[in-house]
Amino acid sequence: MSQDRLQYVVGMANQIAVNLLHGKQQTQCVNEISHHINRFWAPSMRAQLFEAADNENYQLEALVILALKQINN
Amino acid sequence: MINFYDPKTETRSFSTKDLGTPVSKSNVKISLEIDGVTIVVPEGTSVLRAAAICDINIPKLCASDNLAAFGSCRLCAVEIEGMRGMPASCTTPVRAGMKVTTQNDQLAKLRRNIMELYISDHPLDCLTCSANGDCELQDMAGAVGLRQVRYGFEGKNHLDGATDDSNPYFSFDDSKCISCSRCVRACEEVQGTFALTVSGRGFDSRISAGQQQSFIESDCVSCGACVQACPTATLTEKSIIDHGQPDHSIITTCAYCGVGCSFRADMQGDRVLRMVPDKNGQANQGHSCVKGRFAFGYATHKDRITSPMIRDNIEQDWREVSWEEALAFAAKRLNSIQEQHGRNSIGAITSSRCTNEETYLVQKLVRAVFQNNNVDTCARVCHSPTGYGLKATLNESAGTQTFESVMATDVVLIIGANPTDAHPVFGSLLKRRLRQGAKLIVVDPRTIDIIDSPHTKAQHHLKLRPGTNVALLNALAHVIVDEGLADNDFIKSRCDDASFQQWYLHIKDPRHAPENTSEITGVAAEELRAAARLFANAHNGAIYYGLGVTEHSQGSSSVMAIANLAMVTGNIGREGVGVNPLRGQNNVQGSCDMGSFPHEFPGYRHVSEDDTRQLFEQEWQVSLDNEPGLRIPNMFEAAIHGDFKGLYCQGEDIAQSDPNTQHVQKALSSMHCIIVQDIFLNETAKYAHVFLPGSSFMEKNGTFTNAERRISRVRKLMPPLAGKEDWQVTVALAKALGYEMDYQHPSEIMDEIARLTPSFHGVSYEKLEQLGSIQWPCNDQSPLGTPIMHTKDFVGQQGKFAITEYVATPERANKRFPLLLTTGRILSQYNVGAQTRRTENQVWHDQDVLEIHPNDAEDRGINEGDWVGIASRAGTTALRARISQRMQPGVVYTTFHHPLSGANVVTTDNSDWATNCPEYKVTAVQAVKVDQPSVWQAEYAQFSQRQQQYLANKKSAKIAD
Repeated sequence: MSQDRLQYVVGMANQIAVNLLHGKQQTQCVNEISHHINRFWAPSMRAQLFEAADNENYQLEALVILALKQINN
Repeated sequence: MINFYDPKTETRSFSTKDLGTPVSKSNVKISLEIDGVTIVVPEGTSVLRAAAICDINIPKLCASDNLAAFGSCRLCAVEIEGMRGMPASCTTPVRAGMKVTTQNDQLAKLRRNIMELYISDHPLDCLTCSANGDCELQDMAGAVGLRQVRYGFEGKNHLDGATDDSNPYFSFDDSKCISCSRCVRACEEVQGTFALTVSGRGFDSRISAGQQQSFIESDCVSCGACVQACPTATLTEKSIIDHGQPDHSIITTCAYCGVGCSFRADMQGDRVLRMVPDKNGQANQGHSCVKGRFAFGYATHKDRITSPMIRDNIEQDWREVSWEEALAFAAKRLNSIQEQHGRNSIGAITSSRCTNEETYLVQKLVRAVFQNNNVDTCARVCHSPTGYGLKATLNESAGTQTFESVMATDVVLIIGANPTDAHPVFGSLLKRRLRQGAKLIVVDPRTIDIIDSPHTKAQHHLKLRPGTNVALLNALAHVIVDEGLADNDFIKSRCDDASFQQWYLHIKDPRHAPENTSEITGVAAEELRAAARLFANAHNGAIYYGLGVTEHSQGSSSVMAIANLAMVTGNIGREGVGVNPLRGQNNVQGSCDMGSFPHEFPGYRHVSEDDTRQLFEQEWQVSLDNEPGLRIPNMFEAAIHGDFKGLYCQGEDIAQSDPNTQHVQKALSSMHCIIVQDIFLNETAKYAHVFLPGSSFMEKNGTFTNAERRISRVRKLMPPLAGKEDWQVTVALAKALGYEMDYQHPSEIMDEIARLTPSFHGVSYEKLEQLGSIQWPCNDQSPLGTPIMHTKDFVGQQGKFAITEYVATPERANKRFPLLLTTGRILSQYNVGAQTRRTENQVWHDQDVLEIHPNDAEDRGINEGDWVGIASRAGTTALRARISQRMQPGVVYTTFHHPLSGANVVTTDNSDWATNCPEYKVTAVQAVKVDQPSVWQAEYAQFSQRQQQYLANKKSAKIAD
């Protein structure tokens, strides 16, 4: 998988997290992030997100990492 | 093909009659007697109108029911018992018990004398006059029985008046003008431009555009209201001068912006002579703009492609083939791609320029035949954040009002929208309300026209930095909460308390105070506080917004912040208030409603909902995917990486309209089968393998849904040039892929939509004929449709406040790219310009230019008209400079109506966090004076030329065969 491509989904996931993290408890944030990604991302993009999570070259926001448990793979 | 009876194709009906003066909306009823007939009308009605209602037609010339009574021609004089003389019936309001006489010898004599004076100064060339058969002056001469002109024709007159032909669509013949001033009043009252005036006094009074200018040099915006108002041949469409009067008319819906104006197409055989706004049109109420009224010639332009074409690769001549061969070629390629690269390697893009029925069929093709959910629409790049943001807060992905609702608004808040350019007919209605005294707040980085135009001035212009909408909207909400201006009763009764409490704590925080956000937005705290107070204290406050809200990295957050603002001030659920997205293209609302998004079925229901999916599976007799598909930018990304190989693109031009052109070009070049269905060889078609000729809105039946959720009929004016309406092409493609779609008429597609979609359950072509148009939801609960939404609850739920934290876009100005580019639209051109560039509208805007503030221009040595190179992180292009005080220093602006401008070569891949809607409105750029167009422009010009040659060779190839 090309590096650029994983960076594309990492960027998007982090952007979602940054926009959802304010004014709420962590659990709610994590729920909202995973809900959003399950609802709007094609399975191929979610697979790329998991691939990026396993690759130390990519920096996922902490909340995205927590949300991974609830994201359908 | 079955022929369906279409009553609206009948010629003019009684409802189009001009009743002389505007309707009165008073609830007080007045009874009076006219020529012995008793009639009851609302208080405020004129005697002229009351008479016309009971078919007593008093002669008139200067009166028209879309203009305030003027009383200048005196032809409508009547006698009223107890009143002296012969008052003009247009300026005389009805009174209880009035006894009116409209015909007797004295009145007849007076009217004849008036007509005699008019005719003594009018050419008597009736038989060869362009208005022959449609001239009110002629009609009135006949009505009053004028038989002689005792004064002769030798005296002082205006018969040698000049003709002004400067406007490409209509001419002004001064010799035929009777100075009734209907054109002047139409320009003021209907259009709100005030471009026309009566110059001179007494006998020398003449109509003048601007200050003795030609029409084209004046402020005239060519809306056509004056032409429509003219009772003689003075202002006439050139098409009428050239071809004569129409023989029949058909009512249809405009295919340009999201206002969705209703038009009467005046026809001679299958030739459209002119489009005249339909006075019964519920969206436009008899008004129009230069695009819908005049710019329809593209439909029969020589560039139209009317035969299917195929080619193996994009550096080959096109081969003109039969429909069967083209569809078989397309089907074979799509099948082989799926066999080789998997089910998800193909997809489709539906168009907001096509009908509801057509977009519905494309998404059905993807879900039922392609067996995936890779379907998206151009709304992705404009209003997808509206769909997301309004669903999350108001529980429905649509605007809440009618356009007419603005006439009950006290304070209008416009954010990131430019109605006088992009939604001109609504712009005119809005200006009318502002002239009546409503207040205006505009949030825009540019000084747009409505901020300071004749008789309309904004109370507050919050001239923010591009990309800071959320910070500004949060600050407005903070002031409202902080200063105790919230509508607590509304919040308590209508909104979800938990979400409100959470939002309240968030928005109360001092970081949202305008004193703290002014650093970010560039808007002074006091100005913002004053604007917030004005809006919050309004009896009725309404918010109108456009792409300046959605096309940002926080587009969805801004939409939710707008919904928060409407809820916290209680401005939802009645006339005069609401959240009003101004949609770009005519059927953006409809294409979204029809399930064009990869995650939802028609009616905004997620593909993972089992009940919904089973409903569609049963109707379509196939099993359906329960996972969301790829959105347009995701498709491009997958194409570049070799996973996405086939695209069916109906009526969209993604190569020109989508951001980061070079990225899009790379994606398109990576695919094996691009099927473009369009009326022209557009920019995307230059990358296509299959070209399926489309039909313009004049060549098909269907419906469009405008920004008010209003479903209106599109009616076929002429047979499709390529033999098929667009929906028939999709049906044929499905068949070539082995799936039967059995429809004889688009009404049957609408019946299927209605069966499957709760908010459309009550919609049918039959009901559309009865009601004229329908605003959804239309079902058992609201069988006549729903003009105003959320009057009692939010579609069965409570309103939800959403937390919208400001997050700065990564696209920031720096030393290398010190300016911010923002893009937009202008009045005369539409979207990618494929239609309007092929009309005379080119005289107003034949190239895109870069608007730049004088200070920024001076720093760079740029003068008006210089070539300016514009470079961003994505690419470089060059445009001519226009020095403009409308800009703020540090911000430049352009449009994207012309393909070689390359505006989107410069825009980047940044997008909205929730929907991937591109951030067209903020790109960090540098602008420098250059000598010539950019490398991209030179290369693209060559590529384009080559593609045109491949198209030209198609013909010679056929001859050789």
